[in-house]
Amino acid sequence: MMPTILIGPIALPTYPLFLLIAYWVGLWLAAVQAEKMGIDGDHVYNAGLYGLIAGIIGARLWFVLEHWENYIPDPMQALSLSRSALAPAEGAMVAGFVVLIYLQRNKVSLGTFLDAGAYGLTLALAIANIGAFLGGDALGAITTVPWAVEISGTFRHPFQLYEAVACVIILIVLLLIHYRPWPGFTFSLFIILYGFSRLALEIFKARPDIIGNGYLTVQIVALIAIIVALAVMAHKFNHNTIKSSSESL
Amino acid sequence: MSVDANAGKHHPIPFYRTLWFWMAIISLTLILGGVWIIVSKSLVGANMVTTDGAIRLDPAPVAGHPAPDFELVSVDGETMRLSDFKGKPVILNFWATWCGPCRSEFPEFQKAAVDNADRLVILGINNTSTDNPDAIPEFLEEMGITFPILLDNDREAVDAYNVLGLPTTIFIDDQGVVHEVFTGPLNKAYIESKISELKSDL
Repeated sequence: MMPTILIGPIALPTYPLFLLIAYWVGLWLAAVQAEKMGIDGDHVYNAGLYGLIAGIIGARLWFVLEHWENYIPDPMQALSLSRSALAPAEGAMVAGFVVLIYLQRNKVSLGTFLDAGAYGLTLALAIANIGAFLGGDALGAITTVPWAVEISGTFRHPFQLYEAVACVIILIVLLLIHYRPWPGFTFSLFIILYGFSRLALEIFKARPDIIGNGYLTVQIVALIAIIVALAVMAHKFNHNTIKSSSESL
Repeated sequence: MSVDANAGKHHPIPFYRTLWFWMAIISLTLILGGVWIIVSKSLVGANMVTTDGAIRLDPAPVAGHPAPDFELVSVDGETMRLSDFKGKPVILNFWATWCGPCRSEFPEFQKAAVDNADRLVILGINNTSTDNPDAIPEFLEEMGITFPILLDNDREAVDAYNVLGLPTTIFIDDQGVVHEVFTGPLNKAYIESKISELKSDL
């Protein structure tokens, strides 16, 4: 674990630093791919920036509204620049909503945007997982494999590195496949491949989220996502669909 | 690209454009995925849950794990163990007199400690191996701190919690499970918001 990177007297928190790098590198790759697909790369950077700003404001606003009674005595504390007091999932929803509005107003095809975004997202996930490994915000299962890493006295699976490797492999597969029969194909493929990686690797976490009496939540979500993506593929590839509605898809 | 309506009569439809192919793929994925989920449950999930429904894990300074225990002596000479406070939520705040952000957030912890005196324990853990012990009482008096301050001379708690930056705050729920680890200054509204999450309804 290396939760902070020391540069002289400055201690930078590793995981947030890697998230920042992941964001910019991911946007860059998505923009490059978007240009190849005929979308102006600036649309990717713009959507990414609006999404980020909306996401941060949304995440803070959601947290403060959820805990409003604690902010009544001193409402200015809601404006704290600290990384605390964020509701990440809700922030991501707000960000997604703002990106959708941006794409619609600028008449960018959602399917093509998602296809370009899939490359950037995969690369960003690889970098973010390396940061999560160094930051040590979650532990792998205890193990005796030779490549186990020692974290405060116990040997554990470096599961974030497994996920990073899986993301790199997925990225290579996506980059090698130039076949893109309809907008949204690459993104659907990403969902299927990434879904399988999460389905396989979740067992290496020391503390996966569980539902019921021991089912791993991420595996169930991943399987549903894979099935949905396969159903989209089935629908798009079915010869009857192609015959009846040609180009408009 | 328009597809000739008669094309299918002369050329066989490619397998990936037929419904049965996709139905087979989806069925296979559902079956294999379902089996894998059940296997994973017996490998991992079942081992995590004890018969009384609690989560069983080794102690670690990571959310979801039992909080590592420690025994330290306070500035008043009293010996305290983290496990003494089980049943109440505990907030550990690692600090030092030389740390600027610690100074800025200390009054916020003091206010939270006073306002929640009956339902919460706040322990300030001084990173004594990097601090000047003589400066500590003066610092506490100046800030008007009344919650317990423990002296970590030998890095016992600092190492157990893998503290590499100050201030670091550990939120521990009333079951002794780490809820959140946060490095950086916090304000009272955030501390208060977290307190409600630290109490289970069991």
